[in-house]
Amino acid sequence: MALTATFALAACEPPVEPIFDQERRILVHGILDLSADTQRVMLEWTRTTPSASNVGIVGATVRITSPQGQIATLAIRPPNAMPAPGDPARYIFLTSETFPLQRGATYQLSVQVPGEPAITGTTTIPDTNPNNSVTVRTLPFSVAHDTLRMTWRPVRGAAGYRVMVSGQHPVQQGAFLTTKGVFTDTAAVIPGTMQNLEGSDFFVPGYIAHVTALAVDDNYLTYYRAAADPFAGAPPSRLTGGAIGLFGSIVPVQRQRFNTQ
Amino acid sequence: MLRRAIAISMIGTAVAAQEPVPPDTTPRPQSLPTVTTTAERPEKELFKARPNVGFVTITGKELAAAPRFFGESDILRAVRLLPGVNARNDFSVGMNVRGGEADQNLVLLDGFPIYNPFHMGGLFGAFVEPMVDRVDFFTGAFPARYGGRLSSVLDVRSAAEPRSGIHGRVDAYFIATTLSLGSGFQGGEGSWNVAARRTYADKFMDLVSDEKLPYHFRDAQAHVRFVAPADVRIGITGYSNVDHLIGEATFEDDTFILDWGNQLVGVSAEKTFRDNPRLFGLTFGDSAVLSQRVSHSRFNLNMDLWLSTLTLNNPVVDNRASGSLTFYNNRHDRSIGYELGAQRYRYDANFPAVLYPSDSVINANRSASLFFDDLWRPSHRWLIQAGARYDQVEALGGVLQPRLSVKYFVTPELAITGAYGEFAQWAHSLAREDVPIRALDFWVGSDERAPVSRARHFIAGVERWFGGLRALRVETWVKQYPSLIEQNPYSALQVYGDEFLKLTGYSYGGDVMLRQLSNGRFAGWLAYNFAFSSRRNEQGMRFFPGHDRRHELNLVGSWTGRRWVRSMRFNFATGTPYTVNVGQFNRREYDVNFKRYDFDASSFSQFIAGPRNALRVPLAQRLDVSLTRKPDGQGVSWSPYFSVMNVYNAKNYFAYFFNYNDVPPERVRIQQLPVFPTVGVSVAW
Repeated sequence: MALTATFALAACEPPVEPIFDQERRILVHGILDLSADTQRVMLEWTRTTPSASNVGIVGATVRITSPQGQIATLAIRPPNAMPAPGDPARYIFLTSETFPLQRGATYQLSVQVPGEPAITGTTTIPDTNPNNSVTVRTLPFSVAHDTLRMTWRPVRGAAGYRVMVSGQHPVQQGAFLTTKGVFTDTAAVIPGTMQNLEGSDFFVPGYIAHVTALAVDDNYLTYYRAAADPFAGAPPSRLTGGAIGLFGSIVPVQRQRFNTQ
Repeated sequence: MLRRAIAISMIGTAVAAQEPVPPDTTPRPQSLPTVTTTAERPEKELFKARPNVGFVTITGKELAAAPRFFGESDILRAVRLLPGVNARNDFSVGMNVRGGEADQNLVLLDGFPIYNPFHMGGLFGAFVEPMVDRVDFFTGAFPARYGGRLSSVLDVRSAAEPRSGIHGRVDAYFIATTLSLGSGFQGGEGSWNVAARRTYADKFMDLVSDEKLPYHFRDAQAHVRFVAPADVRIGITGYSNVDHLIGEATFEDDTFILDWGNQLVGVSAEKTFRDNPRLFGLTFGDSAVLSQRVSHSRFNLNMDLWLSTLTLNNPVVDNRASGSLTFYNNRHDRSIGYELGAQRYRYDANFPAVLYPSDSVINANRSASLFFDDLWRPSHRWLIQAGARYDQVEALGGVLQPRLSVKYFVTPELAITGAYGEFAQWAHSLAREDVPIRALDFWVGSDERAPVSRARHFIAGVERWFGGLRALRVETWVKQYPSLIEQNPYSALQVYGDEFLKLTGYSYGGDVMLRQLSNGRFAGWLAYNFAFSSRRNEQGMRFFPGHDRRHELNLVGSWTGRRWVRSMRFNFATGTPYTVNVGQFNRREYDVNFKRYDFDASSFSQFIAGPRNALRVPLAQRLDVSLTRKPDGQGVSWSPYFSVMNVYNAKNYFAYFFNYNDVPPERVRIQQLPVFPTVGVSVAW
């Protein structure tokens, strides 16, 4: 039996060969947040090698058009700032300087990268007012014993809902844990010990847990909900021009904050 | 005359006897030349008696004579060596029959349905080999009494021990041990057979190590037949199998649970009426057979990993009652019959994985079917089997499916065949054809979001027998799929009705089988398939489905010597299609709490897919051999065996994974099973 196992193991090393023909695509991340003043669209090339520099795409013309026909031209801020190697370029507009986002409204994105086909996208913001509570009480939360339970009313125009949990260091305000999210319906039950598939905890003792339930549009749901599938690939992009990524929208519907123990 | 001659010679000059000597008429034994009488093989009898288009019957012994898989005689794996059948690879439970998808095959045990008859994610079939008498396999145009699937019917028939006294066999090999027992009674009219099999690697690990191997599988199979009062023949079949993986994760204090299995119980009752039986005062034949069958079949899959982070459940319940009345005369075998079915399905998975979708589906189908079939023998040259089946599926409507098979004997040994049939299916698997690994089928029923699938078969062929033991069959076929569905790889748990995508398509091809039935020294077959499959999605895009293998050749043979049986199987197959990944990216996650972008909380990169199934994996070829000592047939007999899978360790790749995270990006080739020698022993009494 040992000889048999040795044969099997020796023959199981999967052979590997390098890939020299790779396709490079424009990757767009644009999410309209009804609760935020600053709206961002991230532009970058998909990586062909992990060490490729200048992944971020500068010099593109990025516009968002409101249902009333108002156009906001997004720009890299500060102007001429180059993204760090491996980072996308951040195109920004402030709603306070252009036009406010409206619940239930449909917005158009257009991106023109020199030498590339025009990229367009459309999103309709879920039809509800954002929960912008800034006086949310910070509650204690025991990772070992507590379970987070949230419910909210259905939102017209929402394709789904997602609960996002972000951890912030109580002293080093700029120190964050990677945000975790779970898609759900109009209720969420998250035990304190919940982990994502990589084994990372949603709630880390000693950190302040910021929890927000979002109503999301269909583009957001389709893009983020799908798991990595090496046989079908990422879901077909809703963006034109051969770009991948998304132009979607979210509205916070409930917020909570916890001192995690 | 002899007496007179002697008298003359003795007397010398004596005259002839006065009275004529009467001839001696006393009967005397005469030695005649040896006359050997052998029964015609069932395969030849079927050739003469039925059109049997697209049909192969093969005994359990012949299938078991094929080289072993991991040391075990695997009936379902051996079926894959028959013409018209394509198995994607060593890690797939699916059989693609004549261009059909893998969920289009009706697998029966003594005529009762079984779902997912595989272990270890497809590595082993679940039928216990000593319990198998024969396998009847329709690769197309099956008669009207069969329904509910589009491509094939595989009916595994249980063995019946004819001898009185308890006889049995123990097979011990690399993976598991099998025990089978049986006995005959009622003068051979009745019998009982039972068999059980269990893997023992987990028990072995307990003995030799502190480490745990938390996996095992087991099967139990039983068949009883007897003649009840009023000359009613009763058959009872029972079956149970389970795969069990329960343990503690090594990196967390979490338990994980993964188990699945089938349970089946089926009862049949049959009575023959002779001497021109009448029905409502009318005579339809010289004799008639009335049969009734009921069955209860269950499948269940339960997975719970990492404190319910990943859960998957798929219970299926299938209840059926059916019956038929068949009248026989010298020209016609006419059958009418019915089938009532009730299936309940539930599927829920809370997170999508490559092998299954994240979804929640609960549905049930109730069906009522009627069929009529007439095997007509208008002359000694013609056999015509015509019939129709009507399936009414609750809330989904009815489907009329005509069936016709024709055989014309050019000579008693040469026949031309043709067939046409329409078929319907309302059970579907959520496993995807494009995924080369098919660990299980995840069954759901039809409803408004997963309509009934339809197919049409056209078959033409030639069959020639060379004596009683050798036959050549060539068939060409076309299948049309006016209505098909496939699992949507992007279906959402919260979205109702997006589980399936609609398709249409067609397949065509041909297969050849040159078969040598056992002559005591050699048995085997050559099977060659050619198949071409094409599908079209709702957007009008054409693509090759994942099982579109164009050419496959299987050579199977076993040579029986004085003491040893040598078996071999050579396989050659061209590659199946795959979708290349042309790039990879990480999703940017928007943190709404702090209004910033972050890398995706999940480290799983997303793939950019190229054109669907536009490329093909390389061709594959493999040689398996086995050597078995013949039992001496006296009392308790021992039969050791040695087998080697993939003798020359051919590198047969069936899938690629692409990794754009490395420098340079890499393509990883995934290989089928390497060379694998095993030994075992069989003890019979």
